[in-house]
Amino acid sequence: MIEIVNKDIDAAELLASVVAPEAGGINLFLGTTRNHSKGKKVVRLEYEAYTPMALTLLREIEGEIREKWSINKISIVHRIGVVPVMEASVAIAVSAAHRKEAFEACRYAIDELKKRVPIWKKEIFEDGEVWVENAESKST
Amino acid sequence: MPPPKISVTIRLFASVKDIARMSETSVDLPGASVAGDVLSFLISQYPEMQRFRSYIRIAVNESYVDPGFVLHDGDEIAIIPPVSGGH
Repeated sequence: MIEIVNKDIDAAELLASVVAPEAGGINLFLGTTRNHSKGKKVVRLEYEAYTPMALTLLREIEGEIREKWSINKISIVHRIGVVPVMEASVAIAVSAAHRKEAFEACRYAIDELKKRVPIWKKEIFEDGEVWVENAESKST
Repeated sequence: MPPPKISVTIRLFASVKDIARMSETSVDLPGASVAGDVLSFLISQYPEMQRFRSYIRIAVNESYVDPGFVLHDGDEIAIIPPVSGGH
């Protein structure tokens, strides 16, 4: 399941989507809105995506993961629009026969998502706002 | 021989969209224009975009391309500022 949604991410539904009889472990990563950034109080985040390209690249990342690790299932969901503090903007679930593959694949998915998937984050403070520009994504 | 001119769609996102105050525009470019020419064109219209020059990425028809990528009539060019951060 690879999706970009404009509503709450249901982590239970995501987990259910990767359950498999062959799996010995499931890794779930949730990226949540933090109430502070560089010493300033964050009120909320707003995400914007170039959706068709973002979905294509998420599927590409899934393909790379399946080449590198033996996993059962993977689901990646990114939320766009307003994401209040404590709520998840991104969720990744991976099931595999053994935990090492599940952990590594999940880590790879979020790291690569941050590097190349065209989704942008705006931090909204009490007194202003700023688009976050990721140094990692500048190099390529 | 390249056509005398091509018509392309430019899509803008995040900080670049805010600078231009629009998310999409269509422009005519000389035939044989390359992806980097679109960025030069935008910077000529919006000098504030200069600060992005060294690290902006360009996608054509939803794939990242090098600045020297040759454009064709009808292409959709996306200007991709650095993506969303976190570490």
